[in-house]
Amino acid sequence: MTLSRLFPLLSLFVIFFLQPVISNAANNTFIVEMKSEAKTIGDIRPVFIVYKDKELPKVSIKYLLKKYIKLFEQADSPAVKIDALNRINNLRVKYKVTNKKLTIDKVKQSEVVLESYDRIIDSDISYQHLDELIYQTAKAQSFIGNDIESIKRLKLLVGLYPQSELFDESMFRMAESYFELGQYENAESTYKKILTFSKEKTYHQQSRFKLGWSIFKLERYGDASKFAIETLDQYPVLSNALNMNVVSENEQELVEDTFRLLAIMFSKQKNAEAIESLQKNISHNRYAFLLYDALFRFYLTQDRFEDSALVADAYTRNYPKDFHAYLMAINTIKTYKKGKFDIQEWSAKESFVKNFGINSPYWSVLSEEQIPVIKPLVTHYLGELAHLYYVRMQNSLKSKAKDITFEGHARRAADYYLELVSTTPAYKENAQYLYLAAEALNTSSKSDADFLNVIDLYEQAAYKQNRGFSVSIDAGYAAILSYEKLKKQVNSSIKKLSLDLVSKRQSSIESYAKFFPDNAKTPDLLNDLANELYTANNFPKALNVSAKVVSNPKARPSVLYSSWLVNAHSSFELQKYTTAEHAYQKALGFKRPKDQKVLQERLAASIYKQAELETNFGLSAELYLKVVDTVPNASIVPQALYDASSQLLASRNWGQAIATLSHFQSAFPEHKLHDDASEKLIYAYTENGEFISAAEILVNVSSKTKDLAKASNYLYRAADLYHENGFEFEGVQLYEDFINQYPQMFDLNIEAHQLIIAFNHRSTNVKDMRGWQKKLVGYEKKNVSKRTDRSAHLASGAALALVMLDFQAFERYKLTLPLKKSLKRKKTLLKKVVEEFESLVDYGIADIVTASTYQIAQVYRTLAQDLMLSERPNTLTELQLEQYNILLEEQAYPFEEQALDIYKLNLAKVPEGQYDKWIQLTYNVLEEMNPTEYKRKFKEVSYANEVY
Amino acid sequence: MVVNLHKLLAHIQLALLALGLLFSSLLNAMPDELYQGMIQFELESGNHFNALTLMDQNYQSTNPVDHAVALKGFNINADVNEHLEEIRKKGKQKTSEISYSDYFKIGRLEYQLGNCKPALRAFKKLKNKLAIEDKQEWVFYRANCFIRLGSNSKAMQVLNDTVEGEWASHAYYNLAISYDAASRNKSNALKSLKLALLLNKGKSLEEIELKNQINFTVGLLYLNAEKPDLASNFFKKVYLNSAIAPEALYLNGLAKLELNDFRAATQSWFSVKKYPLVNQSVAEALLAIPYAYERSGYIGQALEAYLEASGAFNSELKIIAKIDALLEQYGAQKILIEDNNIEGLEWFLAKDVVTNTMKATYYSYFMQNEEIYDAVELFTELKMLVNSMEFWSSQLNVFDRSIKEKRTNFTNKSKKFNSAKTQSKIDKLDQRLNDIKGEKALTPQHIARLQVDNMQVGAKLLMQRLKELKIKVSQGQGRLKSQLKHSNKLNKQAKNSQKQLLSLIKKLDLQITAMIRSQLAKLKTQMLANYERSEQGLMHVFQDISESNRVQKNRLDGRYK
Repeated sequence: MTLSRLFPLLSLFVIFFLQPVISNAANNTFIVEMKSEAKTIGDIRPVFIVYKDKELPKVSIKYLLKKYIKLFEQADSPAVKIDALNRINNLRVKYKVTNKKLTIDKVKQSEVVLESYDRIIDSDISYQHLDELIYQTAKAQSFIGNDIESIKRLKLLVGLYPQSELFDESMFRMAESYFELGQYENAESTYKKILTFSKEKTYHQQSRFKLGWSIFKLERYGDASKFAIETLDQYPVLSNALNMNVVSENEQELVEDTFRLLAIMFSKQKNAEAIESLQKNISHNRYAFLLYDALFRFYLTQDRFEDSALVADAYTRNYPKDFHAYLMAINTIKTYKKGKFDIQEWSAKESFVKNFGINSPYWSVLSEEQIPVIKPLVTHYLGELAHLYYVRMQNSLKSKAKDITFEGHARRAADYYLELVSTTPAYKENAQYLYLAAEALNTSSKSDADFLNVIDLYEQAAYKQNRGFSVSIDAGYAAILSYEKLKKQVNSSIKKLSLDLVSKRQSSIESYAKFFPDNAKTPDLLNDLANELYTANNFPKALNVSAKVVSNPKARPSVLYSSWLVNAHSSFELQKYTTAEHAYQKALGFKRPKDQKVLQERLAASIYKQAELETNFGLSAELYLKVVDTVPNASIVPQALYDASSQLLASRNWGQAIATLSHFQSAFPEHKLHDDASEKLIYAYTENGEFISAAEILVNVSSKTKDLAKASNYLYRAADLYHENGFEFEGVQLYEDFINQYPQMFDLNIEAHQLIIAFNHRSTNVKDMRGWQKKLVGYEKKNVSKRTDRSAHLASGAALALVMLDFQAFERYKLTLPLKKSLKRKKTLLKKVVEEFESLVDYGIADIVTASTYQIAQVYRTLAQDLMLSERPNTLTELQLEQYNILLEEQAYPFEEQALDIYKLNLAKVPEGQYDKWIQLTYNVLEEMNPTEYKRKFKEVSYANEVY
Repeated sequence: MVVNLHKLLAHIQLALLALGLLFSSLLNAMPDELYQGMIQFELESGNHFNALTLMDQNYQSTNPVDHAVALKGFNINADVNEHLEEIRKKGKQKTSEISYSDYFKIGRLEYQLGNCKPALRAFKKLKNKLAIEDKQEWVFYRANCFIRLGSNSKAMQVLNDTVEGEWASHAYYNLAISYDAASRNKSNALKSLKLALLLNKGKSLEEIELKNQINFTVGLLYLNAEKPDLASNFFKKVYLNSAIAPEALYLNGLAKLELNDFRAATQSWFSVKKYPLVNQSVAEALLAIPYAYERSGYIGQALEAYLEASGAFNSELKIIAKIDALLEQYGAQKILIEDNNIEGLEWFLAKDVVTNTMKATYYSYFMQNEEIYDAVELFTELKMLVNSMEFWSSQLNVFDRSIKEKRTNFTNKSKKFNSAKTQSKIDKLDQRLNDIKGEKALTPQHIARLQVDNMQVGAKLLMQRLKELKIKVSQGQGRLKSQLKHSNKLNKQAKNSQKQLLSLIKKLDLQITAMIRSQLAKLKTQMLANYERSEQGLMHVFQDISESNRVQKNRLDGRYK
């Protein structure tokens, strides 16, 4: 208790105990009475004891023993001596101390013990338990080897103190002493007394056990067995146990000894028969295994191997269904081995696998937990047996005359191997086993079924049980080779396999390749297979197989070549042209002169086909070109070029198309597609912006083409190209050529005329322009039956332009004096112009009509204006002049009126939906001439700001 | 070593006889009543040696019971039995004149000698004849006799007559002890103890000590009956200055231990440590303390406690060895019994703060042995006798001188002796007393207060003495002469006896020394055993630590697990 905790208690103490005192004292005077000195034990104030956890010293056992020994030697008190002695002995046992310096001589121990006990007895100290003392002295006597004296004391004890707690033990010690002295009858009777009369059962077991031994010593085996069994019955855990570890460590010795006793007795009787006889007597066989085991080990310790093995074997025979019978079988084997009984050992192993193997009834009833126990053993022995017979088989084979047992050995070896595999389906060595089994059977097989079986085994070894070992490779190959043995003659002297077998063989080869891709034989085998498959038109498989060959780094060149061929051909057949191309390339790489040509053609074809199938124009073109690049001598090259160009064009790869076409034309000038190529060129050039080049081609083609339409087209197109691309002059030239050469091409002619006119207009070559305008008009008129809107438009335009010249001339002609003359001239001009304008109406072009109308109106207005602006005689007076003006006005006014009327004709077209610049000009003029009527602003409806 | 006290006592008896002869003549001069009274006084006071020296032959023959009592008191048991045999024979006679008080003494004597049946026979005669104070004692002896004879029930019947008293308390206590020994059922024993406690007023030292003993015994009974809580209640009532206080404290500790109250047990044992280690309870307590620590789980402290105990025992062994060496060198008389100035014995005489001196401690220890006690008592008495002898010798010398003077004076004075005158004075005195007695004014109480009767008796005595004086005067000179002669003779004898006594004392000293050394050897053996036990305990703790398999045990108070 710490002071901090104590303080409140102390406070409470003061309050409770001193408070009355203090309060009383307070009532009187302040006097505190301290408690008076304690008189009785109850008055003592408890001593304040401090409890502390203190660090403990480290004490070794050695130190302890030394101290105890010292205490023992120096102590005078017998009780202390005895205690020290007991502790020394206990410590030595517990900690397995063997140091002789840390013990007390046993003789001295006993002497001291006896002396101490005598002192105790002789001393004045009253001992309540004298029986204990007598017991201890008896024990001491026994310890020093004086059994007789010990027995005397024990007899004294049991006689004087029948109720003592040591009674039972004393009886037991007595019996033990009798036994040690060889007085077995006394021992027997004493042990029996213990079993009958003792209160506690502490010594029953040991007594029972020793009773058995005592009776055994008296050679009454039956009774001895009975007590031995009773001893064992005290350990229910022994029931159906396999060893004595089921009992606790401190009981094992007794149990072992009991079994040893029984074993000795059995050995003196009929061994296993004796065991069975005993079990029959006791009506159970719970200890069967242990009994057999005990007898077995008993013989073993005496090196009686055969007897030992027979006992173990007897158990196996007598308890075939017992799960643990296998242990005995193993014991049999081991014993024979130890005793160097080779034949029996092998026989025992055979029995083991027969009795406990996978085909045995024993195995069939094993549980999931039990199988893993048996399996390794069965496996082990199967392996050994299989190997044994295999070697025997081999030895038989080696002998000159085949040993008649050869087949038997082979069969047995095979059987064991197969059983081994069956037993451990997933075992890594199974391939080896199967292979060996197959090998064994192979040597002895005769029928197809046998061989097929062998093949099957080989294949199992190769594939199903393949764990990466070389044996699987051998097995696989062997399987393939084994098919040879199945070949039969079929309608010829050549031996063949049936289809089914062929298929199987093929599968076998495939499996071989699959599993052993790196094996040296694989490429050859696969190559053969590939060729076979190809021959049989099994192109997919052939392809597949050949692919494997070609990808195999270990394939020989010839094999590779062959497979490449197969691969290429198969691919081609399967329309896998890329693959075919590659394969052909590869094949070509081998440079076999004989096949080069064909291969090249095939190569070209492969690429060509690819190009054909390629939907992407660009890629397709590339492919076509690839044909050319790759196999420039192939027959398909021209076509490829041409097709390439087509694809290029389709892919708008103009440049390349041009190149290609050019190359094509240059390389194959006589090719039937040459002309087509030209057309494509033109197109290409055009699309490529190389108009001039295109034009040149066009011109060229035009000149060569016999087809008129085409020729004219080409020419015109060429002209266009020139014209549109900056070469107007050349274009005009061509246009002119076209006009000259193909007058029947009305439309184009019209256009050509127009273009020439426009050119001249731009070139300010007015004269040529006028000339061509006239030509246009004239041509158009000439071919009026072919008139089109376009031609009418263009011609009318040209005509208008021509008329406008005359109008301009009309306008330029001013009315001078003599007015009449000039007016007449003007009128003549007017008439001509008007007629010309009017003739334009015939074209039926709306804006020409309006233009003509306007112009006609303009003519009249001009006349009117001119009249008004004409030269006045200078001889007139003012009045005359005024009148002259009035007369002029009167003269001019009808013209103006006429102009108005004519202008109005244009206006009338507006409601019809026509409105062009001439109408606009008409309005403009009318606004000038009659602003009141015609000068108005458009009314616009302003946008509404709100939406309703 | 068996001390042959009997031989010694035989010597002493002769000495006593000599002394008796020596003093008889002197004592003859004493009045009989005074003489008898002196003897009775010495007997009642337990000074049996003085009583024996006072008894002359005549007294011894006329008062055989007193003589036997004195002899018994002085442990001369063989002669006592002879005396008693004669007394029994006399008692059987019809004309026996043994008084009730003598029967009482006989009965007590028989009881003390262990002759229960004769004792009971003697006591039987006293039924309804005794005063209350004597009856209690009478009941005590009778009850104890029955107890010794194995009849507890009869003893209980006897005790039922007694209402109170220390003797009854003792008797009930003895009965309780007898019940306890006779049966496993302690209820009768407890009942007896309860009665013993009730009858014990606890006033005198003996009563207090008896009370302590009773409480202790009750506690022990309860403890043995596995009722430690009840046991502790009684142990607590034992006084600390009681001789059994250490045992009580120790057992109280055991009781607490039974209750798993380790702390209280340890505290109780701590209290025992204050007592001297010669007491085995102290040793047990020293050994129990570490056990309690161990049980509480405080192993370190247990170790320390064992070491302390071992050290204490070892120290005590050294002291024992020292004392033994001293005894061997100087003898018991010088070392233990008497004061001394021996150099280097300061440690033996040094007073412990709490307890007494070492000497006192060991002295008390040895005195617990009855034989040593008796021997030392005898030794003391012999020493006193020697002193007395010296005194008497010197007195004799003085007596000689006085006789001589007396003789000289006698002659002178005898010449001047006027007996008639003296007679007349006495007669007058007597008359006066009669007058006073006849005075009517005085009440009988006054007269009694004035002791007139006594004075009259005194006067009568004076008359008698005068008569005697006359004779003496007449015979005086001759007597004085013979007295002087006698005195010289006695002086010589006294000197011889003194010599013998001194020799006896020396022999007794040797015997006592041997006895004490024997006792010391036993103590040494016991202490050695304690030491070994402490070492053993220490080793057990070390073993536990070493094996380190100890589950921590109840911490302090196992009541609260």
